[in-house]
Amino acid sequence: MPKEPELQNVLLPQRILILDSKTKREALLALTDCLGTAPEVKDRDALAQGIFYREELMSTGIGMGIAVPHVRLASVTDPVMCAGICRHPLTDYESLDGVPVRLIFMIAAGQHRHAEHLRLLSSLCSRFKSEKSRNALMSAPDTSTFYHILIHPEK
Amino acid sequence: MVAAVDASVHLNLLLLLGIAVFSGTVGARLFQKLHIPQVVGYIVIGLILGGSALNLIDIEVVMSLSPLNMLALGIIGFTIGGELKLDLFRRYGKQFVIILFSEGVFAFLVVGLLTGLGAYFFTHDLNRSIAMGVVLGAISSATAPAATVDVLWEYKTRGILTRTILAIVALDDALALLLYGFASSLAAVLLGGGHGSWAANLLMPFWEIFGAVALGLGIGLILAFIARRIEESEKVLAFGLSSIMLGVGLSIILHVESILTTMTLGATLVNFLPRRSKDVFEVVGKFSPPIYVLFFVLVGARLEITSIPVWIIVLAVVYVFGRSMGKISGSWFGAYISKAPEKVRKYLGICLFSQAGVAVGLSILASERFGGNIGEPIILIVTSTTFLVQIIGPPLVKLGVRKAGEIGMNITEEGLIKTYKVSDVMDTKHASILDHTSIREIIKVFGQTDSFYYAVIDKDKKLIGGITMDGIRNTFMTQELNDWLVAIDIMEPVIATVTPKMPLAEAFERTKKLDVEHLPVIAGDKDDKLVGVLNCRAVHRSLSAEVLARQQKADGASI
Repeated sequence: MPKEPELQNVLLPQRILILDSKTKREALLALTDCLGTAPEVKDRDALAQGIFYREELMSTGIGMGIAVPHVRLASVTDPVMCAGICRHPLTDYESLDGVPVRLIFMIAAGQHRHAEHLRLLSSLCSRFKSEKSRNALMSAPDTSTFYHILIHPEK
Repeated sequence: MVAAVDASVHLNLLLLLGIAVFSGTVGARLFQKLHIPQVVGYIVIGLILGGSALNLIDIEVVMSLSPLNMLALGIIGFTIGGELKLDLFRRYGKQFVIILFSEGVFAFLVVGLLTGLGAYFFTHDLNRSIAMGVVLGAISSATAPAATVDVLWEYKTRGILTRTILAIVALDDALALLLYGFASSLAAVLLGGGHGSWAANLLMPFWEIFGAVALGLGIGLILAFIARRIEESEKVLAFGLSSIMLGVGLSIILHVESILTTMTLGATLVNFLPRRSKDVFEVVGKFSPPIYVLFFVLVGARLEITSIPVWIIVLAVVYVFGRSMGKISGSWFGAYISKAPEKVRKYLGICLFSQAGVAVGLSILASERFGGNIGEPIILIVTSTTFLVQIIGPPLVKLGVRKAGEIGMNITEEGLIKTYKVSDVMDTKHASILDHTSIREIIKVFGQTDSFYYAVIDKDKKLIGGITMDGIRNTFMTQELNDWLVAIDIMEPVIATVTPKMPLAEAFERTKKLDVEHLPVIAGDKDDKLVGVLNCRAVHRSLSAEVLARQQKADGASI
């Protein structure tokens, strides 16, 4: 069994943004701009295109106020992630449960890293299972607290 | 000095060999393009290279290459012998023997009568005419196995007609020898020039035939004993070829029939060692093509078709006509009496026209024995008609087996692959999944079909990836994601594609190189619209079924 990708290896504290966006589109653009600066991402336009194309197929609003837009691209060398805390819950995200989105985790991975990508998604989502940790993340006063809660979730 | 001369002679011979085999192969290719069996190409090239045209290969060269000719005949005999499995004889033995005698004796009688009458018309010499008639009649009963079998191999035939042809051409040389033995003895008496007693003349053919069988049996048993104990194919080849050479060489010393010797050798091997002997026949078969080419080119080169007197031409025409009628009516009669299937009755005769080595050999024997008296006309008639029937014989064999529906029935999977394109075998039904299909639906689709691969396409049907069983397995560990993951999230990128027009063999080569079982098929090199999936496992399965079905059809239809 391969090791789960460690979240701290793919998410740097400086890639956590407080978003003022009022729409899904604005939020996703802000996050692709941020993730596009990561050295693992070689083509920012392809990233934005991939993310929006994936959203067209099916919304990545997985419910409970959380969205996980993700994409696998040939122009991405290693898995990399950024996160956004929305000041204004996004009502147009079309989440599975209809709840407005407050936290967005954007993930990009290499085209061939299919299994690794799935494990990263799984590892991330396991952190939202308990209501307590979801609430803790949503009420984090700043990005560094947010980062700490995400990387060291309460057992 | 002497050494230098020798070297140059050898070099020239090698150069000639190279020219003969190379141009023979090129000629065969050209004739194949015209849908004429390749053996005709070899012979025509031989004619061009030989005494009839360029005279590059003269009679001296032909003579100096006679060991190679003998080896070629030996290999041909050996390969034919390999087809003579005893259980075939148990099943069809009586039928084969009846047909064999019928077609051989009919040809003998018709040719003997017609050429005898023709010769009398021109010579007004009764004894000479009868002598010529019986000798030509005996020679006419022989059917050349090589050219006939070559057509059967080329068109991968299988079925009762093919089996009957193989059995007849394998055995009727023996009959021809027997008939020739008696005919030449009679001729010798009629012409008053025979040497040796009647009894010796009559016994000679028996010695030639039974001696050959005994010799072939002996060597065959030794080879079977050895082949049982060796594994490496190089050694199998060495033992196989050397046994053929031993058989041919000893048959020359013992004055027994060479082809019959190696035929018995092959038959002994295949019956004593049915499974292991496959390797022996396979490696010998792989080694033999250049020798065959050379053999047929030399048959062509030997023929002198430029300076023949008119009365010989008339007798030659009578001979070909009589022989054809004799073979057709004899085959029909024999097949009718022995209750052979209709297609044997109808088409066997035209498949037995070919005449070559044995006939020419016997005519050479006759010319040596009877000299200018009847020998020269006989050698001219047999040589010129050999050319004619070698040209028309193979296409008629092809016609016969085609009419009998036996072409392509002996195909292997490998052979079948060569005839297909990707479009013939690709899966268009269970081929693709749209990129927005949910994991749950994908798992359901995989569960409902036995396909292990689906191509992923976008809304414009463009190929964007593929989902394998492994990809599905990965999702088992992350089932909590299944509600919101879609095909595009779990697909793997496209590593290679094939097109519908690509030959299947090339496509399989690609899958082998990439070590994959499936490849998506796109519309064209510049059009990545998905049109199907090449599923190697399913294709192999259906090809095996096709091979089996064809073989069963060929075998079943023969009962």
